[in-house]
Amino acid sequence: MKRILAMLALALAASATQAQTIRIGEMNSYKTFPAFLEPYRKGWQLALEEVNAAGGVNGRKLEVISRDDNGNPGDAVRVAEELASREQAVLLMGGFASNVGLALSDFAKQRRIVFLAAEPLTDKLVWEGGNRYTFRLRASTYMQTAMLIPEAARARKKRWALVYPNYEYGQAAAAAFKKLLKARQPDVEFVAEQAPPLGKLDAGAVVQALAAAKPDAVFSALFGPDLAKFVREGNTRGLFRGREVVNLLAGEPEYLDPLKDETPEGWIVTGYPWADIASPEHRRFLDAYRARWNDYPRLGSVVGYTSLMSVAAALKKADDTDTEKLVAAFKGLPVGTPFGRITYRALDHQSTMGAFVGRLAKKDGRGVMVDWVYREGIAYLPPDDEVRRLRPAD
Amino acid sequence: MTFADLLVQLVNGLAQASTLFLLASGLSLIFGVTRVVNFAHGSFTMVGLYAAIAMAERLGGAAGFWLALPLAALAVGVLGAVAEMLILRRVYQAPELFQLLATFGLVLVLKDAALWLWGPEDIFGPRAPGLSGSVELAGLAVPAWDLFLIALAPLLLLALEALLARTRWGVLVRAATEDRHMVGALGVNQAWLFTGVFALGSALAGLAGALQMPREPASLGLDLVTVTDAFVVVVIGGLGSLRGAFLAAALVGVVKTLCFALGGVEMGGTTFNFSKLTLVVEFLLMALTLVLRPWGLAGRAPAAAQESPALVEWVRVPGVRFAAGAGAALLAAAALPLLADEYAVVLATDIAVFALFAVSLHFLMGPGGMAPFGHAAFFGVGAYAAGLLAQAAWPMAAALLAAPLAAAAAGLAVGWFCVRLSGVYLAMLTLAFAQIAWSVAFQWDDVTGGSNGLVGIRPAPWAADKAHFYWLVLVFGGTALALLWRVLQSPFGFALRAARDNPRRAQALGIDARRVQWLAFPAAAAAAGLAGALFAYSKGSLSPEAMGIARSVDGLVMVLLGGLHTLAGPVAGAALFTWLQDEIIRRTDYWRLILGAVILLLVIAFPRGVVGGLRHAWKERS
Amino acid sequence: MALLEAEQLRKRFGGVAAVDGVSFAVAAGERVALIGPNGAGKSTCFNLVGGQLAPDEGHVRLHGHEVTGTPPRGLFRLGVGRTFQVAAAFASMSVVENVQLALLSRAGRAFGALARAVTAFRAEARALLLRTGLDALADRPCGQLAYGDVKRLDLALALANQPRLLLMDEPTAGMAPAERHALMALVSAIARESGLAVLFTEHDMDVVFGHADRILVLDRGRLIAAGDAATVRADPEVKRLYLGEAAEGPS
Repeated sequence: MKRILAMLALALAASATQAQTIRIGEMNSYKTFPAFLEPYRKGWQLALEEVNAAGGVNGRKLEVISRDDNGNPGDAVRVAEELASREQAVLLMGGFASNVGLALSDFAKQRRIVFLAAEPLTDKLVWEGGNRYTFRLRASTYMQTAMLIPEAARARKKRWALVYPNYEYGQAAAAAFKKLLKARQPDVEFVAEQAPPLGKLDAGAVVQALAAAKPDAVFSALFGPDLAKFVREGNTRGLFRGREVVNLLAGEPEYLDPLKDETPEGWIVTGYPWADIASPEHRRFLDAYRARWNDYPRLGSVVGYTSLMSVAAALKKADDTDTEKLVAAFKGLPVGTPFGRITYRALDHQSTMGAFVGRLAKKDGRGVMVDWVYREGIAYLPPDDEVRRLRPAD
Repeated sequence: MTFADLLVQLVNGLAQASTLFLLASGLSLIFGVTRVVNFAHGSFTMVGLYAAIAMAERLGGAAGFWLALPLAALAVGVLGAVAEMLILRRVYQAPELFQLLATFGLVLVLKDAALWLWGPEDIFGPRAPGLSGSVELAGLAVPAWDLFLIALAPLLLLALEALLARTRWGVLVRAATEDRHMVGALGVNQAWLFTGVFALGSALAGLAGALQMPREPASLGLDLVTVTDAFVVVVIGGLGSLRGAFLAAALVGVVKTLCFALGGVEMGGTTFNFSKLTLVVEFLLMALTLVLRPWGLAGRAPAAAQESPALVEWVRVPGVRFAAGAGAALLAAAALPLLADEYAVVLATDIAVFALFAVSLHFLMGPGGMAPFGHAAFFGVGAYAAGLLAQAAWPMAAALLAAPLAAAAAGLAVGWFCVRLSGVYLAMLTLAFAQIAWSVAFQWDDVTGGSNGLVGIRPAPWAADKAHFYWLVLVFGGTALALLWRVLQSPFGFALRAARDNPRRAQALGIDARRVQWLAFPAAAAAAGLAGALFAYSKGSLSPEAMGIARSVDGLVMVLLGGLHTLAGPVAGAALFTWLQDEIIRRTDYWRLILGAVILLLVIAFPRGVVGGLRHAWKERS
Repeated sequence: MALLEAEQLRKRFGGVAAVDGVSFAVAAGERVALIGPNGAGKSTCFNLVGGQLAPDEGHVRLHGHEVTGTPPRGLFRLGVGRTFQVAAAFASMSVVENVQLALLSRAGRAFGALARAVTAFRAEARALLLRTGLDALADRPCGQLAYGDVKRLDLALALANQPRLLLMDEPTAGMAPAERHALMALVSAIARESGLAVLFTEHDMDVVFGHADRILVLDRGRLIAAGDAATVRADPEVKRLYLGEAAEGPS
């Protein structure tokens, strides 16, 4: 019986186009984090169309089988299994929250299939919890925090207050910020630390408590609705007046755009100033995205687009869909992206994709980033020795 | 912290409390009269906020903002009335808690409807015209809107109390809260009373959402965030008591605010950050309240709860035919790897794990007559026990035996407190314990891996193959299932049903009803813990979601979907729910909408649950 | 020595004395009715004896042993059976299963978790059903019984521990008149055979005068008369307070 079914499946799969397409499994928490992931989906769809319009990879078209992972690791692992076994995906990509990303990474290790983590930021994904089959595109929590340190140190503020969502991302960001700033500026003091639950920020109380510590500056890792609440409450209560504020991710259009005329001017943030990036590779991406979707790209769009382009590049380099060949191809793989050329490091499978650091400003009632620079990821990674020490051997 | 800081923090706490009270008042009214545990209350709040922002922008200007508040409340009230008439009205006669399933379907539908209508991006509303700035208080700035909310909440309380005390409709509502059968006997049109109450409660939820317009953006995650808060406040206050809810809202709001105000505090050489406590503080308060005051701050012991026998159906003790059927089903399930592809086996493994979880929950809900809303605690304790033992290099078989023991110990402890309560209070106390356990797993980075959880939980080599592991689940799960069913046929199982059917009668027959119910907890917890351990090994990784609210709710949905008063119901419910979700999720982006709609249809078509309904239809025919 | 002794029982609710110094005794084989108008305190008194309530003052003795405040399940072990005003057995079980559970409890086996309950004490349960006239209904779901049969089942359950004292709260309430006497005749027969003492409250005066050896009359928490039917009937205070009302119409 099993054999008959298997033969039936083979016969179905044997139709000409099917045999030639390369199937990529993609899963993400589309319904749990729609603000970031709807643009993300549009990003990889655009990339897929571009790759296939250019004739595919080594003559074979790409096909993406996409699934919602319901925002929890248990379901995500099952979806990954479906993509890997029933859909015969040659590799997996996606992931948003860190716990789901780590679960998928562990799945990849167990099942020996390549997993490109698109969005999860946790440092563990490539360091303490790194494995042979997992690669990660985005600059990690540590890297993005490190990118903010030069500006934070330049402000020469002695008393810092911290606020971050109470889970691994926020905790890691706060820990990295304290460690790196202390190294640059030994006399720094951290006078208050507020860790509200993700999505349940009690803005009035938190703003008040931060102000009560009389800080000179504030470091925040808030994003999404928490960030919006924090900004409005802080504006009303005058928390930000005369204080330097550093906020991870707040320049990403997903989180900046809802602030509209509430946008706090002068904040130092990481983000994506999509309208002002004049590089030819970004210009081309921007035009293509707008033409395709009649909308401007968010950072999620870039992540989605670049993830698929990375996968295409790896498949092209490997010229095979065998997992070990793909692992070899990904190691040291250069990819052209809207942000310029990035490389997947052989050392820890982290890409060198950077982020934009700048200050927030208001323009026509909307938030924008000004005085921004692009910080290459490679410059903000710890020394290779330290990475080797953190990362278990394959 | 200066005195001025403390003072202003108290004001902040009261502003938060006002929002909580608005949320809770509607829920309390609805529950008091209709006894519906309305999971969709938070969804109505979410819709209220989206609608208010949309209307304020459409109408424009100061008038637009102020008009949007009542209009949004009205719109949500109408939505609530429609939902009540189309869906809930059809299932009031169903066994207790079944309506919960309908409101769960509503949650799914409303979430996707909001996404479709308003898009994925958070939408920040305007500031309140005239109240956009701040007022100076003890030298510190306080948002004027916060003061407006603080003034509004007591006015609303007085208005609602006047409505209940002075109008004929209000008197009926109060009478129905006391004894809803009496109102029917008085010849009042109960259907319209319920619809009216549902509309008012929903409108209050909508208003609570709309009033957040100047404070927070509309986002799609708002529904679940608010609904738990609303339940906690209602229960701490005491069901059906508006004043209690008011008091509880103040308590929760102020305590939470104080946690932030305290921040990091030096204690015995280490710094304890009180702001991290806000993850769970409302549940700690709820647990404490219910342990000390089993009916909340202002609630009263239900007059007749101890006296009146439960309305239950006759359950035939499963005999040889049932055992043969179950055995045949197990054999058929075992043949799956020979017939289907690998993914089907993985899906079936999930189904088997959840079936065991659902059966363990049903043990308490059906025969036990208790409805734990936090059953995932035991699943999670088992899962974490297995995960930690696996990391400590215990053999899998040993971990699979130890995990249920750990869960049983948790069950013994939780049960001891819970059986002192009944009904929704009991349900919510289990939820409080589950959330406390969840927060421990979430925070204890060194041991549980914190929010990221544990990875690398590998089955023994002989069980690594998906089919082998599936058979292992069938053997362990089947054994646990058989044991639970056996217990139900034992004197203890009879005593458990007796304690549910008629506790007073049971006492007079020398049966210690509370003790029987207490001991049911470790039995059910052990089975849930085994399910959790199998889950951990099947996934290879584990994070706090394993004992989150969603897991508990899924369990309730599975049990109710299958049918509360059948033994096979929870198994069928687990299979149906897991399979449906898996099928729908891969066919459409709007899977929540479709899944929610399917659940609503099933609710209307099978008010006894699917298995219960089919059995009933069979009996009617023959 | 009397089987049951109540001595100077007092119970207050708020400021109201529901039972205010009541003493009485019931001997083995004796059937005693506790009557009184609504609010006289007979339910409270009954619940003090049955262990549902603990008295503020006073004593309850069984065979001379102090049992004041002992909960119902403790009294069950000491040989007290009880029926309820609103009779309801265990609706999710069949008639015979109800009785089997009671028998299992008597044997101290209600916590056994692995034995099969349906086969335990089956014969004994059938015998008890036969005795209470329910044998034909043994396998009926108890939720489908007529109310009179539920009352009988309630009695069967109360008899399962072979009690020496039977407490019956309004044993015939809600039954048709013909059924009432049948049920009480059954109780009387059992009391006669086994020396069972019966204490019951009752509204129906026909039942009281027809089946009680002795009658205790309560008013406003106090015992105002006690004695056999003739004595009580003749008591002027009882006439004024109680029977006067009853004489005006059927109760």
